[in-house]
Amino acid sequence: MNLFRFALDNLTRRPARTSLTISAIALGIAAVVALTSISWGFEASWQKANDARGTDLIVTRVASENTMPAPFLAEKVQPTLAQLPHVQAVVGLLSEMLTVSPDAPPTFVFGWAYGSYLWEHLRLVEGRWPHDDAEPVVVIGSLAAEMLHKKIGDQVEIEGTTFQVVGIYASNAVVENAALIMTLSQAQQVTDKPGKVNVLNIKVDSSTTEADLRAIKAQVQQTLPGFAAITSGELVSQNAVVRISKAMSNATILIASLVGALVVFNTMLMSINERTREIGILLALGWQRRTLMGLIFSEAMLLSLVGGAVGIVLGVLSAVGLEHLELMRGKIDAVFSVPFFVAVLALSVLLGILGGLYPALKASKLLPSAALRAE
Amino acid sequence: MMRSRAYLFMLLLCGWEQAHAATPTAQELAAMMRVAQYSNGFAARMSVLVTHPNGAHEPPFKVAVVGQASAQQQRLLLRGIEPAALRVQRYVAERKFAGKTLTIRARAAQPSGNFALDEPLFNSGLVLGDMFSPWWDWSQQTLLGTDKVKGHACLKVRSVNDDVHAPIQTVESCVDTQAQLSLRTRWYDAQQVLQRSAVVGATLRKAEGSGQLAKQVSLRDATGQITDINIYAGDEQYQITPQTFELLEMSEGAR
Repeated sequence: MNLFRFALDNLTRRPARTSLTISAIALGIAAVVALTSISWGFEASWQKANDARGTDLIVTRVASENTMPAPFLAEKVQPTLAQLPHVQAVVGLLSEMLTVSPDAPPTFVFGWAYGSYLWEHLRLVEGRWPHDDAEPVVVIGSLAAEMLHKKIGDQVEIEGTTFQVVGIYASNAVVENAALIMTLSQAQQVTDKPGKVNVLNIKVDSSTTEADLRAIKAQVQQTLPGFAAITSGELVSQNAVVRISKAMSNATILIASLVGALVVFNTMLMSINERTREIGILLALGWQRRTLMGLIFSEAMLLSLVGGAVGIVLGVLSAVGLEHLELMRGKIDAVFSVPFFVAVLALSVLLGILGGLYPALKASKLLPSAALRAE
Repeated sequence: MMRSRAYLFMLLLCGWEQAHAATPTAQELAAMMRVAQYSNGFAARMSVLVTHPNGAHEPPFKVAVVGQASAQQQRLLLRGIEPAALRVQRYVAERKFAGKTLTIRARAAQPSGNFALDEPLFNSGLVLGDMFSPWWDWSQQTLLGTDKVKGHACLKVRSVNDDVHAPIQTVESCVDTQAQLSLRTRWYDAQQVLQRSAVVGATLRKAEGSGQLAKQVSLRDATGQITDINIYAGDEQYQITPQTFELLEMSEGAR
């Protein structure tokens, strides 16, 4: 009988305990998988939205660490930016999370400069785009249309002002699909922020190199005190919600690891205490201490591997389930990848090693004579 | 060894001195709170939910507050946003200091006319006069020690009204000095009966400078009616235009 088979038999001898240990590890790993994939997905979705728009740099207020960057007067910054080398377009954007239906959770409402490049990446599914800057209409993302039960011709009340839905669009980014878009001037009017934007999007020409982008960033810092030019990735990583979700995911990994290791440790220690005589017999039969340690480690790793695999499945199911929850729709776009699953399995194995370390050492140090006398 | 002990002693002494210097007097605290309000222009939009003492809720509504504050003048505009029917309701008030003389003006549009600053508005616990935090201008300020509000340490201050005929005679605040924000405020009448209270549930870091802003506030009046306010959007550099407080000037013209 090989070591693996021996370890498997030992675990199946106590099915209830083995199942409970696997369940505890699986729950921890599931929490890690769900939270991490949601956190990554949130970040990726914002990044995808910015990248899809074709924005190369974003100019925002330096202290913009809150969920929404603080608004500022575009006219004070825009002309300076437009004169920088390689800059092709500088486009204002205003966004707010607003209640547009009493039955639905708050939704992103974007105000985009009319006729700017920001609109180009959207695909019109139905209806039309706004005719001009002053038209009090909205176009609505396909997911938002579904969530808010809105179709072309319907009306939405935003901050006490009624807008007609004239178009339904689709975007690659879930954030945009779950949003409503109106022209920038309409958004400024409805949010009482005349002339203001949250960010200015910069599009550079095709000849721009990484060094040129760094130079633009430096020039913005020099010429516009209090403002920073950053890439969409940098903006997203500074976002308070992204930072909180990352911190939560890291904390979950830490707690799940500790709990997982303790559960394996407890199970293996109990198992060894119960099998003291058996270990004594194995040693008396000539088993090497190293082989005995291998057996204990194999059992611990089997537990954590199975727990890890079950946890991954549970975690994926939880994240996908959350995506479809009415309250969460359009806000979660969980991201999974094979390297991530491999890393999670590696974490499970590490938990097994950590949890099995002391029990394995304890078992290997038993004296056959003492072990055989044990009741 | 002796040198390092002496150094340690010096460090402890400095720390003790700093700790003492960090606790302001009541007057300093009041002055700090007055300065914390100064702004060339700000706007906040908030959703309001009123819960009656029997637990019944009114439909939620949204209002906006726009303001400007300096050592000489404070102006506030409170206007309805949503539902659309509320958009006609506007209340404007001004407190103006000329030397030691304080002039107060208040004007409403729909229902039009003057209104009392301590009058609850929008059938809720919103009191425009409280948004000025006038008690920080009162001459009698007393520190009452420390307390905790929702786990946050704060300094308790009692402000006693200089006007003995005013309905509110005493205000007790619990100020987070780091955040420059009163986490809890209680208003008492002349008989020391609690008239209303406000507790900050969540805060938001200011976009610029130090200090924090209230994000969620729960108001409770003497009847037990609760008004929960959630500030969902704001602008700390709101552009005040001549039209922002024009209602106030119109009232002067009408007089």
